[in-house]
Amino acid sequence: MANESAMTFNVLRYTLDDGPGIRSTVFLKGCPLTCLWCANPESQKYAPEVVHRDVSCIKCRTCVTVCPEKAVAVSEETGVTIDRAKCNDCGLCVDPCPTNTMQMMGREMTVDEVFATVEKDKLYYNNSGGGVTVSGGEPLGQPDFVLALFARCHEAGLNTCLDTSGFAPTENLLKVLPETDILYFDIKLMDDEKHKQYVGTGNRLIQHNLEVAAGSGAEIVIRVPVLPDINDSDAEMESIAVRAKSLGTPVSYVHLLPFHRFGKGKYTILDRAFAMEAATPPSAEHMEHLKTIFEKHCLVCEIKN
Amino acid sequence: MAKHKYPKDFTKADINACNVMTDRVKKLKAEWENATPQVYVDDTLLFTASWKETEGVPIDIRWAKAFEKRLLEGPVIIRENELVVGQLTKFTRGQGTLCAMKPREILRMCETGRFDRKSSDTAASHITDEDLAALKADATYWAQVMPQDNYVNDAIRYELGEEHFDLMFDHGMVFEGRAVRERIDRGLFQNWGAFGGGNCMPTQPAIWNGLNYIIALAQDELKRMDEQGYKVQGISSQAHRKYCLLKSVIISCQAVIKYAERHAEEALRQAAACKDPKRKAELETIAEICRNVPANPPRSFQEVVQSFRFLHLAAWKESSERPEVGVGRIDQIFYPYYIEDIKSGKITRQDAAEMMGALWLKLRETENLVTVAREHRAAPGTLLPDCTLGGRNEVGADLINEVSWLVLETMRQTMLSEPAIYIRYHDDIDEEFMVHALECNIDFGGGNPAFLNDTLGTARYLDRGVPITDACNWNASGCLGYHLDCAEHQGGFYSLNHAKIFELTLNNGFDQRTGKQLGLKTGDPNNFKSVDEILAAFELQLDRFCDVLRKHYFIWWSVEIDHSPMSGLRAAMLYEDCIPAGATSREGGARYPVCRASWIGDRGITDIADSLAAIQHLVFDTKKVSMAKLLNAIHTNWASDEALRQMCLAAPKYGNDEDMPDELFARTLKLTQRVMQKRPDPFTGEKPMLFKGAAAGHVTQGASVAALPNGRQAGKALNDAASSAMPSMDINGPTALINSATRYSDYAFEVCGYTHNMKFSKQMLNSTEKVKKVTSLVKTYCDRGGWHVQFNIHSAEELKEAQKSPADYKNLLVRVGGYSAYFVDLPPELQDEIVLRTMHDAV
Repeated sequence: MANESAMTFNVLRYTLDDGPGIRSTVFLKGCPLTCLWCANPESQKYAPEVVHRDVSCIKCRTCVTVCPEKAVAVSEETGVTIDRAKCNDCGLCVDPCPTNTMQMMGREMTVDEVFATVEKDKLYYNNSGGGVTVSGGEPLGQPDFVLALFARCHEAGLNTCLDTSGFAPTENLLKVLPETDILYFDIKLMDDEKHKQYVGTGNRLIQHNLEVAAGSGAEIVIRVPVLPDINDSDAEMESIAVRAKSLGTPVSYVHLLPFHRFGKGKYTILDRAFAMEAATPPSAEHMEHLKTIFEKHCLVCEIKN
Repeated sequence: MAKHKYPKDFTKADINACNVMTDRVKKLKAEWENATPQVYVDDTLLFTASWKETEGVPIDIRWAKAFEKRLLEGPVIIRENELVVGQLTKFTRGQGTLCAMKPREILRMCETGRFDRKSSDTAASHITDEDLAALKADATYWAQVMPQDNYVNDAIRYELGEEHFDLMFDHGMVFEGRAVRERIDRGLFQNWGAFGGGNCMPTQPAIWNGLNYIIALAQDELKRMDEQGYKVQGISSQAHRKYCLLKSVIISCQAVIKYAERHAEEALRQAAACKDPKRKAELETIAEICRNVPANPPRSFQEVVQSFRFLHLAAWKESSERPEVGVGRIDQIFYPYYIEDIKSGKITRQDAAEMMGALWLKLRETENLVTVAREHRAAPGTLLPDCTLGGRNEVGADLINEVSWLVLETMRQTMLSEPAIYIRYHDDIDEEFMVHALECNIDFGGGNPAFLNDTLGTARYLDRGVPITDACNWNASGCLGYHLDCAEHQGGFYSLNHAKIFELTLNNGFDQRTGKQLGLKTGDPNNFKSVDEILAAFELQLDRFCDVLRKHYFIWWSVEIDHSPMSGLRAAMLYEDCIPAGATSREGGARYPVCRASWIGDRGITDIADSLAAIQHLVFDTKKVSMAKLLNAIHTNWASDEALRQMCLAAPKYGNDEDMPDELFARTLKLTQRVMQKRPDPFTGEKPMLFKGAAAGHVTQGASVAALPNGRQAGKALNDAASSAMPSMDINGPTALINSATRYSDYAFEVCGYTHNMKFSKQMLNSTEKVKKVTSLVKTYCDRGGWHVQFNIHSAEELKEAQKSPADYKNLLVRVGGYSAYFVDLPPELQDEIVLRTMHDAV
């Protein structure tokens, strides 16, 4: 198999929320959806993006000097600012930055490179029943890479998990399913119109893909983001529960993921607005209540904080 | 991890349901928390009085007599509603001292009126005018009696020259030690001196058999010597020494028994006046118990707890200038009594839980007056009573039992900074127990319990010729040390500042700070063409300092030994060997030679590795910076070039599972290990043990180290512990850090105290599932040959808040090195460093 490559934005080790056991999660860049609550804004665009993290910046002005587009400015009050209209994400400012605060979000990585990193924690996976997860962005946007990486993991005896929105051509899904042990599959809204409104596209393809996945033999975990005033009603959860139940035994768990605002900082460094900045995370009581809706359908439901 | 194999007719919920903090325990805790620390002077006054009465008596017996007087004439206090009795001083928070040990230091405190040399202002001691006058008079007496200077210094000066003392400048220039030039306060005995590395603790034989049994052993030995002769080579002072030691064993043990009897009398006195029939019965029981233990074998759980309390108190009181009176394998010592009483229905689990809570409070009461300034203390905020749980026995069975569970529950509910708890982790440990341990850790916050690699701990001793029956019987001790249960380690301890030696290597042996050539001339650093050449020069410097330090150690201890007798009580705790040998562990009474091997400590390995990595990256690989420019920046403490410092900080760092810096770390470890173990212990010929102890030494030693190429600024703390990364520089998560730390794991085999600090946010442990993942982390750490791992579980914000408003965070516990301490009681520099330790958080 060719040494496939993919646009990644992070390979994170010791992830605890992306599948069973201790895992490493490979985040692929690029997503066709535009969910308002997205917690990983750096995953949305396919192309790499320049960001500036203020933490240890010494305002040495190196970035200002090297930028050919004159897109970077430094002032005592605001620190380093990037004029996004001028910046073309060429990344020339990244290497000379002495503090590593100017960074490129997004890097083309080969399967060999990624595997070399995730393989380092093999003993942790074995000791905890963990493995490797590919997430995003939408990983099914780069299916050849996912397939090659998962195949490599299986050769090494590592469990594989695909964390997907389900929005991708069905052939892409079919490509990776043979090497996928677990699917983390999102259901955000069952109503097609509402789905269009909040996610940017209808959900028919997603639901079709879910049907396909359920027939593949992979274990499926249904992941439901609980979003205030968008899907946190009993009726919406009821319809999701009915759908999850209809898929039968492949569905092992339903995870409820309460809305959070931890992605806010990332919107700031990308100079983008966070549409749900003012929204309040659902209360613990409400989460517990929603959980019972799934339990009434004899689904094993967990709240993932 | 295994399912349990021990009798487990209880569930985790049963243990969690125990209420350690009963009204009684709560009240006792509140009394302690609200009490003002008071300087307690009666101890030193009684000691001095006894010393004056025993003029001309051999020193071992004289020491025992002084101990006896303190127990027989000191206070006997049973506080309202107390279950476990035995209070060190007449105050709820009393800090005792002996002026005989450090007269001039105490005199200085009296004269300045400042008894605030505890680790923080909140822990500063108070004293009444009357006591102050008495203390001053006592200290004045001893200051007049004891010679001004230190004969150890004289001997060292004679052999190594005056300039040798430059190496000990500021408590840790190259050698860790006191500022010798300032003239160590010469007392009757050195308050640390040749006592270092002990783990006097109430041992199982002493508790189970009772002190009368030990007295009988000593008497038998005296009788045998009387009948058969001493069997020494010709006429020797050894014979008289042995005679005196055995006599002092008897005097000391009898004193403890009488001290217990005084408590029985007090209990009866209170019972007679007591109107409440329930309390009256309790007091009568206490009286009955104190008549039996520690003289005789305990007959119940309450008796074993009480016996332990008396022996712990006695060991502390007898040698109160030396901390590290351990708690030991308390679950093993208590369990037979516990289970018998539970089975017979004599007590319930709840009764035992309350008693454990009462004991924990008693252990926490132990304090002493600290005369060393807080910034110079190696382990501020603790007296290091370590408690060890579980472990495999000689046939591989896991020894976790119900008392181990209760100890953790006690820790979790009492929320006291001490004792530090160590769990001997191995693959056959009960997984449910591990979950319980980590859940207790979460509630406790500050890194308690810690986990030690059981297999490794036992293997180290097997490797040094100890048979499995004893090799498996070890416990954590002191600050990151560990010892066999059967024989106290009494080799000396000395420590080198490797970071300083590295700094000297980068300056051709010249020390900017003193303006002196402290090291060898190992070459102009500008001419180094590779890190290999730097390491070769460093090795020459290190080798030379190791040679000098070994001489220093040899002279120091040879001279010191005659002036620091070990007590009969200490020998009694370890009677199996010391009594027939007629010698303390240090003098040859220990069962195995390994117990007499010296310990060599070192600090700053990660600082060196990261510095080498920065040089490799910036100077040799990318050639972004010249060596001259880098050295100049270091000499000016980066004043000339902050951007360069940032580049150094951003250079590859140890702790990220990256080959280049981690290989340099491993090479530095290997090199230092080879050099430090090259020369045998000067006394016994044993291979020295390597040690990473004394938790906060990286702060004190860092003070004398200039800026380093890893981006560290001059005078700042060195990296903590042994395998932690530079604060905030391990960015690839906990598995990467563990991989880096265990890359060269045969190092851990040689090095005790090879500690691994990890910091987690609560988010990372907010479900049983996630807690189990951390148990896998511990398992993998040990599978890879790691030795000691511990977790601080809180948020950086919480710590910063605590720095701002210490009063609101009085109970915030953190793990420092070999112990947990109240965060607000730590020196500010150490607080900052703990805040900076990289927090592993959910992303």
